[in-house]
Amino acid sequence: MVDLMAFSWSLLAFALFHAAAKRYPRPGAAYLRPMAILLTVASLGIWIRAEGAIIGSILLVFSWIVSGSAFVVSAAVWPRVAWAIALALPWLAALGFLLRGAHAP
Amino acid sequence: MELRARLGGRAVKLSKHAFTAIWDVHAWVGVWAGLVLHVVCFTGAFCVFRDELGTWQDPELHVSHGEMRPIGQLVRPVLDRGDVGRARIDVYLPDEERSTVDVRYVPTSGGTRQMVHVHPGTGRVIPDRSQLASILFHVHFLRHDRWFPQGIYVAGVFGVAMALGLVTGVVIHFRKILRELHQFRGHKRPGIAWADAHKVLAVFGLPFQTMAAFTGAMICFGPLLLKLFAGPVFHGDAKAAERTLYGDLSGLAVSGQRVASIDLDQLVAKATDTLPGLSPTVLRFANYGDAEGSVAVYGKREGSPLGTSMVRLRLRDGAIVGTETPRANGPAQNIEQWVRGLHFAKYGGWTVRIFHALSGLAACLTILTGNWVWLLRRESRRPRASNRILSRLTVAVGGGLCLATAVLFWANRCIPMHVPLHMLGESVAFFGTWALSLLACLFVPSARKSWTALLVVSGALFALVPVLDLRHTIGKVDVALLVFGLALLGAARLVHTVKASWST
Repeated sequence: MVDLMAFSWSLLAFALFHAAAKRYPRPGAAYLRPMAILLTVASLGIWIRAEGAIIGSILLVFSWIVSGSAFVVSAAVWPRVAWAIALALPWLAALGFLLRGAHAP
Repeated sequence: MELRARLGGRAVKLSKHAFTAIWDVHAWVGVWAGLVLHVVCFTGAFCVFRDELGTWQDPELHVSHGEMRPIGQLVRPVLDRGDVGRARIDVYLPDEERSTVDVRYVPTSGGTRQMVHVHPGTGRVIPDRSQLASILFHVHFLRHDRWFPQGIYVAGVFGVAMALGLVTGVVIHFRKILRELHQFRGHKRPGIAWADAHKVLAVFGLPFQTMAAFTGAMICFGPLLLKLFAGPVFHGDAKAAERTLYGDLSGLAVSGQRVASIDLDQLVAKATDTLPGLSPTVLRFANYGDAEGSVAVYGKREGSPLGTSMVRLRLRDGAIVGTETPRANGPAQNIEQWVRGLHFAKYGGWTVRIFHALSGLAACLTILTGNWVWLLRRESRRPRASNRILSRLTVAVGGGLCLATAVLFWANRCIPMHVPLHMLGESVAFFGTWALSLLACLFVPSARKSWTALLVVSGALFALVPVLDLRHTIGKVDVALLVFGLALLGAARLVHTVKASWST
């Protein structure tokens, strides 16, 4: 559950970076990047706390590889689904964490 | 067509000729090596779950993690069997993925290594009846134990080719690499959509693909390099060379005197006392039954996520004859352990393996979309028969491998386990389906139709594997196969709906 939470924050962070990209100018983009950085740092913090500094950092890179490629491709084809997952997953992970505990599969 | 790269603080401008040459190298490496690399990456995505698949492949091995009998009681009946070669025997202890005690040995009659499984609660010996996991593992390394052991070197060459493709790809796209992180125009014509997909997946996957290519090549060429360096560096002492890279694998020299071993559990306990925090995972016996026979107790310790520690004890008296820890090991051995640990995802648990598998599948898509972009460009310039052949081969290898793997899973469950030819049946099902897909794709002119058909059938087969398991336990592997199957069906829908000029 901790892994899912860290991954979901990483996914949301990438989604915000994507929304703030110069390619898609939109109002409020300036605020998205700091939020994304904050979420990335939080995600890294969770990975490091769970797995240690080296493995935690590797996991963050992996979560960016997976969440980034999946989000860019799916947001172009199914934008609503991609954004719904990116926005809902952190809440679902937090709910799961609260209901089942940190060590639940 | 010009590239400006910033190297050492100053801009370096590549000439048009250099750019074109690098582009050509990238394209031709992709075309020649791409399909084999797709096979390597696709099977690699399954190989990271090798232990889980090793348990899944035989329902008899689905043993709940309960109380375990002493190791000696479980293992000794197998070790003392007459048909078990005693020079090297590996015993894998139960862990998160493995629920039985697995014993791997070379039979006294010779041949390839065999495996038996021991029920940890009852001590019942279960023979190896399926080779699903090992088929995928051997295809990943392009080798066959008996017929083509050199295949691993071929896989190493393809690893180097992958690294070359990555380096040339980075040089080509260096200036636009950040911009291409966010650009996928799926609604445009296929040439643009495939090119964008290729770039997005390649840029995101770059760290993983670089790691996989580099570590893969090192694993494949390791034994070969060892032979090359043994002469000039180790004065011809092959054992010393082996010890430097892999640690002490062979133990003490054989004495020729037969002596019984002391209690195995006592030996394991002594190993954990010697290296506090060691959690034993593998026991490697050397010259079991000999007076100088020994057991190496391998395991991980806190603080060394990828390094392995080992205590070697003499079997007759329990004397410690060697220890290895990441702190005390030489740099070559530590690097080798990191390389192996990174490549096989031996760290971080289930999450890391899922990330590895997804990244491996993304690498497959990178390769296939790259091939498709190249084909569309060449075909639009001048139609050729060679383009059509490559296009059909791309479908046959790409989609055919998906179908063959799905059929392998079905063959595993549909051919009764007690049938003596179960293992052969799995091989025939896998390679036979792949060969038939190849034949079918060569004769179906529409690549789009072939892709859609192969993806739909393999997606459906993967997604329905859990149905076959309803009478057993539905586990993580079944859920993963269901999700993978649904993803393939989604991909089939995507391919079908693209308004394609699949002219090749």
